[in-house]
Amino acid sequence: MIAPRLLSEILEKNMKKTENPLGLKNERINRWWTGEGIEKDGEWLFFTGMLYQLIPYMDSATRYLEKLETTKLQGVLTLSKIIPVPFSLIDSMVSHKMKKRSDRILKGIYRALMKSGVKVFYVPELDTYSGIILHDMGMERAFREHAETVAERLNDAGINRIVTADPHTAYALKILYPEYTGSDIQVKSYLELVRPFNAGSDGKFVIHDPCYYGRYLRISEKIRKVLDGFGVSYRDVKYSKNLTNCCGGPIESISPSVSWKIAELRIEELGKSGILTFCPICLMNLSRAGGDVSDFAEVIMP
Amino acid sequence: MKIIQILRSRGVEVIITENARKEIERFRDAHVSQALSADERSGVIFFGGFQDKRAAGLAFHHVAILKEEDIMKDVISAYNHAKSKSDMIFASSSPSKSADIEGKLIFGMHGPKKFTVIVEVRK
Amino acid sequence: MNIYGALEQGSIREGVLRTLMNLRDVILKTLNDHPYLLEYADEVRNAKLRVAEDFDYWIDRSMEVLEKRGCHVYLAENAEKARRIAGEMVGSGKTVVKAKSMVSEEIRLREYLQSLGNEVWETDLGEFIVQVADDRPMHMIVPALHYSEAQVMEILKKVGIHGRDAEELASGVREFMREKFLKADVGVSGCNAFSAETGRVFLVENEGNIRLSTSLPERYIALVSIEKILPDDDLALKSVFVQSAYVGTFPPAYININEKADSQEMHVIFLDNGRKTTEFREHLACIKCGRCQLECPVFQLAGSLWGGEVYGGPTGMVWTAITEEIPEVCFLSTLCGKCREVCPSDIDMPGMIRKMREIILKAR
Ligand code: SF4
Repeated sequence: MIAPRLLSEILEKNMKKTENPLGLKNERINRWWTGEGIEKDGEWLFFTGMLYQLIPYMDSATRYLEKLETTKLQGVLTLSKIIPVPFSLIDSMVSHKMKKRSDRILKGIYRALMKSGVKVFYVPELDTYSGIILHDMGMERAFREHAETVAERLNDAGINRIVTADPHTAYALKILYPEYTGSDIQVKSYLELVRPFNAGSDGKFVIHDPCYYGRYLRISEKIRKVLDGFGVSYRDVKYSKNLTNCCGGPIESISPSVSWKIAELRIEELGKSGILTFCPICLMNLSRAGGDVSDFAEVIMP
Repeated sequence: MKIIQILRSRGVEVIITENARKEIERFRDAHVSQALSADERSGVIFFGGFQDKRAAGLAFHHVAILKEEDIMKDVISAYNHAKSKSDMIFASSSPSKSADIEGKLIFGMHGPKKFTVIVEVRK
Repeated sequence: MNIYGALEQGSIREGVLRTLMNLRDVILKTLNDHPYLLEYADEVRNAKLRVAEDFDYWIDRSMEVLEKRGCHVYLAENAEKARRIAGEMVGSGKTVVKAKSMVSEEIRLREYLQSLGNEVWETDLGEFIVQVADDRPMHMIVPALHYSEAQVMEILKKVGIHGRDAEELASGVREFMREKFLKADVGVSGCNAFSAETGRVFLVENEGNIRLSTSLPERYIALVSIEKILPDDDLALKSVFVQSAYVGTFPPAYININEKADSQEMHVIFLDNGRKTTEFREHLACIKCGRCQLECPVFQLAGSLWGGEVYGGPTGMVWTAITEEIPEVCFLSTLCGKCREVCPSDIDMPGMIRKMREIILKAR
């Protein structure tokens, strides 16, 4: 286990610097929309929460942390307060393919919303990380401050409807922000807004419900309806919907090794091929454990 | 009576009779208790008395005589019915069992290996 | 062994998953066939939280009832005091038969009584295996789930019990333990639910060891942690019914409703040990069924080694925080929420684990 204090310090510093946990500038990682001809105004603000964009970088950071997890070096680093994650190195390790994939998924979600007749628009300057990891880590003050900043920015911009791309951001904005900031912006997952169109999807899938959709937000049944509407053929395993099993992703930074073993457990039940999910963290972690995983947006990609 | 299937499905021998006294003859080596009540839904059978509790715990074969009119619709009614007749209530619903070794089910762990219920029905 | 050792070992994972496979469908079927159990679960949760709001009142009431009935009653604020009271009751040179009890683990009762020169036996098969192996219970209800039949065979040889399979081993243990039961001076049990109305101690089991441990010896000690107190008999009975359903062994083969018998001396020790003042009060509605443990991904890998010294898994994170200190390994939870989803008392363990993290980080 990476020392929690060390990790929380890294997170806090990075969040202060760049508003995301890896200390990477949003402008640099958030490129999916270029050349996409995005609307600048509309009814629903598309808010990615940067999670899909961060995934390729998290993947490399995790590989690095995995080496650190079991070494004695960690203790030394904690004491010396040197930030042990060389982010420049991580940047250079990031797979170009993964970046492209994340961008493609976000494009897919955006286009699917457009195609569904949702008046969606995107303002890159308003899009940022939700801060959910601060909440998960018990960094209450830091989370509150971040949430307030973000909520205020959205308010100032006159936003009253948001559509999200991933379950963690959806939960943060829909449930936590109102509680922490008093924000009353209406928040929906894109899965609640898309209308089926002819996507010409083929292949048979096994569904992995993200914990936040299955339990915290309870939209698994809705998701099944969407899949049926799109004519996607799928099967459910025993542990699905509200009983879904975790992919291990949420602890990938504190303990890459335990996180990875949890993903393996999940893969044992799902099987390796044709896994369908709706979350960048599940996508990354199940892939890392050897699963052939597709994001729903890739399947219906307009 | 639903309770009969429930008990049987769990490895309990059930005998239905109009005359329990006659049936007991067959169980000379067993410890025989008069049941105070039973819960129809779960098949839990209540008994009473400290001496009976000890003897029923030690026996290799425990036999219960249960009167049809003492079968109650739920466990709370059954317990309160028993409590109105005796102190030191205890209950059994199956033979003693354990699955502590690799999940393998064995009977007669520390208590009775055999549990028989004689249900005495009204003539 | 720490959690990394557990990950490497694999036998814990095998044992937890095997137990889960054996029990999960049974639990669902039970709840389906006996839907009233869900109502019972709600009633029990609410009653427990009500009692937790005014422990002093309920403890007083309970102690009064027990005294009237001729029991010896004690209130121990912490583990050490509870141990010492029990030690005085038992003395030395005695044979003690114990029912499995997590609370007795919490106060290290067996080790303490042994150190006073007593012969102490865990009489539950799984707990007996753990005792002989000099190990710790790996799960609240199924303590020896991490051992294979072959391993149990080896372990039991240490006490001269031989057998070729589970059946033979179990009958060897039955014989071995029968002798202890018959000569025991003192019986010790925990408590699954306690009725403040009548002072009755409710205990469920399948093996019959609790019935013998608590009725054969002339002296009986019941260890009751205060969150086991319920207002009346009906609620206590509902509580043990719910517990057995969520363990996957419904109905329990035996329900023991222990009270003072004329021919037996009965001592009841109430244990606080952090419960009265805990900020994790919601967790006092836990009935220790162990279901959240089996369903938790981290527990599936590491068993109770993911936890404090005694309690492990999701429920064990919180029990450790209540009775020991907040375990730093709480940071390994994925907060996936499965524990709460399967919990009969709908306890927000993920929320409490976040709270623990907050407290740990604030202390820096
Ligand atoms: S927390 Fe809930 S599921 Fe876990 S042991 Fe307690 S009652 Fe059972």
